[in-house]
Amino acid sequence: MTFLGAARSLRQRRERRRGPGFDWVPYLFVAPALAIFILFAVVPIVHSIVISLFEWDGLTEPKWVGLRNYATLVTNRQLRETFLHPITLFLFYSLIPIGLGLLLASVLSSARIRFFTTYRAILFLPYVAPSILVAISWRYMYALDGPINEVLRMLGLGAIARAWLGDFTFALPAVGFVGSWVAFGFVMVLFIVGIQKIPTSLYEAARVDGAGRLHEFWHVTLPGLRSELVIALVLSTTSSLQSFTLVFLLTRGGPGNATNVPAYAIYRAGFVLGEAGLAAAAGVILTLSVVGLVWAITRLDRADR
Amino acid sequence: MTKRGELAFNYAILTAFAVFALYPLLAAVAASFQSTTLLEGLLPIPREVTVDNYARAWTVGRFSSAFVNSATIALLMVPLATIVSILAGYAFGTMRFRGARALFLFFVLGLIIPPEGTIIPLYWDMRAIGLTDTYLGVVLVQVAKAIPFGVFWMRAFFVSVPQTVLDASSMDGASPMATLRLVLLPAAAPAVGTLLLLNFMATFTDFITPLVLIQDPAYRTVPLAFLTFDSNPRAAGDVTGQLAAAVISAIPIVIAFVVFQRQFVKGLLGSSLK
Repeated sequence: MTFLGAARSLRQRRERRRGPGFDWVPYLFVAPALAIFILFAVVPIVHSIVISLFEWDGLTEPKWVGLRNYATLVTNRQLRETFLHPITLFLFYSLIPIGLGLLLASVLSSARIRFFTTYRAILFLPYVAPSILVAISWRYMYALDGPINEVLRMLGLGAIARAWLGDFTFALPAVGFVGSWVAFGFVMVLFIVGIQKIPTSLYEAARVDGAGRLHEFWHVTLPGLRSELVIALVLSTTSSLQSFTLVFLLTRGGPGNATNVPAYAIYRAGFVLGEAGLAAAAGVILTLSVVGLVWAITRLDRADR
Repeated sequence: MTKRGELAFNYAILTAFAVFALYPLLAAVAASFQSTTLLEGLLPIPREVTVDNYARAWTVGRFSSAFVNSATIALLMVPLATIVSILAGYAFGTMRFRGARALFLFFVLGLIIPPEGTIIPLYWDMRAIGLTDTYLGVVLVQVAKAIPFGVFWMRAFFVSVPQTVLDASSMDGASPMATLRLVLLPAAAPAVGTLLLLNFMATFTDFITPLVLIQDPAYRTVPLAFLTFDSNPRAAGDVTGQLAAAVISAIPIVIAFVVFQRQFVKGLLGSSLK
C-alpha cells in the first residue's frame, strides 16, 4: 500500500469516528506561536500598565500612586525633552534615507548599469551590519582624532572639528546621521523593487507626451512608489522610537540629556535609577505612541487612495 | 545631458555612495589591526597588521564563554522560533477558521510594539519564575519577539500556494500535517531558509534582552561580552581594543551572511512586499 493510500484509509477511519464537528486543527497549529507570544510579549505589556500605576524601586514594596508617573512624564522638563528627541531622529531616519533611496534607486534602475548586484549589495550592507559594529565604527568616525575631523582639518575647516558625540548641539544629529547611513541602502532596495513593478507602458506614455526626466520622475515613478513610501515611513517611525543599542553604545543618552531617547530612558530609569513605575509608564506611552503613529500613517495612506 | 554624460554621472553617484556605505566599517576594521587608530592618509588599509588588539579583546571580554552561550541560545532559539512560525503561518495561509483575521492582526501588532515597552516587567516576571540568568529565559523572550515577523513571513509564502495543490493533497487523504511536511515544505525551502537566517541574526545580535535578563557574567552572550570589554576601566582609552571587540562580535553574522547571501536576497526579493 502506498504511503498516501495508507494515510487515506487511516483518515477515513478517523473521519467516520469523528463526524462533523468543531475543527480544532487550525487552532492547534496556531497555538504554540500564540502561547509563547502571549506569555512573553503580551503579558509583560499588561503588567507594564499595572506597574506604571505604582512607585517602585524593584526591591521594596510598591506604593500606589495612580497616574502620578504619567503626570511626571509631562511636567518634568528632561523627560519631555526625551520624548521630543525621536522627532529629530525621525527626520534623519526618514527624510534622508528616502531622499537618497529615491535618487539611488532611479540611478541604479536606469538602463545599462554594470555591476548592478555589486552596487546593490554594497549599498545594502550598512543595514545588515550588526549594530555593535555600526555603533563602534561610528564612535570611531566621530572621535576627536577620527576620520571626520581629520578630513575637516585637511580641508582647512579645523575650526569646526569637535568631539561630535560629546557636543550638546550636535550629538543628537550625529546619532541621527548614523541612522540615515544604516537605512538609506535598505530604502533604496525597497524602491528598486517598487520601480520594477511600475508598468513600462506608463513611462512610454509619458515619453510620448514629451515628458522630460524630471516630469517622468514626479508623475510616474513617485506615485508608483506609494506603498513602498508608506513602508519606509512606518519603519523609520518604529526605529526612531527605539534605537536603544545605538544610543547606549554611542552616548549613553549624553551629554547631559542631549541624546536621551525614550527607549534608553526607560532602561536607565528602571534598572539604574530604581524608578520602575516611572519607567513602566514611559514604556506604556512609548508603545501607545508607536502604535498610534503607525495607525495614523496607514490611515492617511488608505484615505488618500 | 548627453547619454554618455548621464551614464558617467550615474556611476559617479553610485561609487560615491558605495564609498560612503563602506568607509566607516572598513576604517574601523583596518584600525582594529593597528596599534594606534591613525590611518595612513585616511585610507581604510592597515599600516601594520597586529593581532594584539584581538587577543586583548578576546581575553578581557571573555569571548570564549560568550560564544558558547550565544551559540547555545541560538541553537535553541532559531529552530523553535522557525518551527512555531511555520506552523502558525501554515494555518493562517491555507486554512479558513473563525477568528483567523483577528488572531493574525494580533500577531502583526507585535511587529510594532517596541521591546522597551516590555523589558521592565519582563525582568521582574522572569526573576519571579527563576528564569533570569538562564538560557531558557533568554530563548523564550527572543522567540516571542521573533514570532510576529516569522508568522507574517510564512503566511505570505503559504498564501501563494495554489489551492489546487492543497486540494489535491487533501483528496489524496493526507492530513494537514502530512501536507505541510511532504508537499509544501520542500517548496518553502527558500522562505524557510531566509527566516532561519533572520532569526539567527536576531538572536546573535540581540543586545537588550540579555542585558536585562542576565546579571551573571558566566552567562553573558557575545553582545554583552563586547560590553564587558567596553565598560572595563582599563579599556576606556583602548580604542583599538574596542574596535577589535566589535569586529569579533560581528564575525558570526558576516560568516552566516556570506554563506547564505544568495538565499537571503532571493528570499527577500522573491516575495511580494504586501
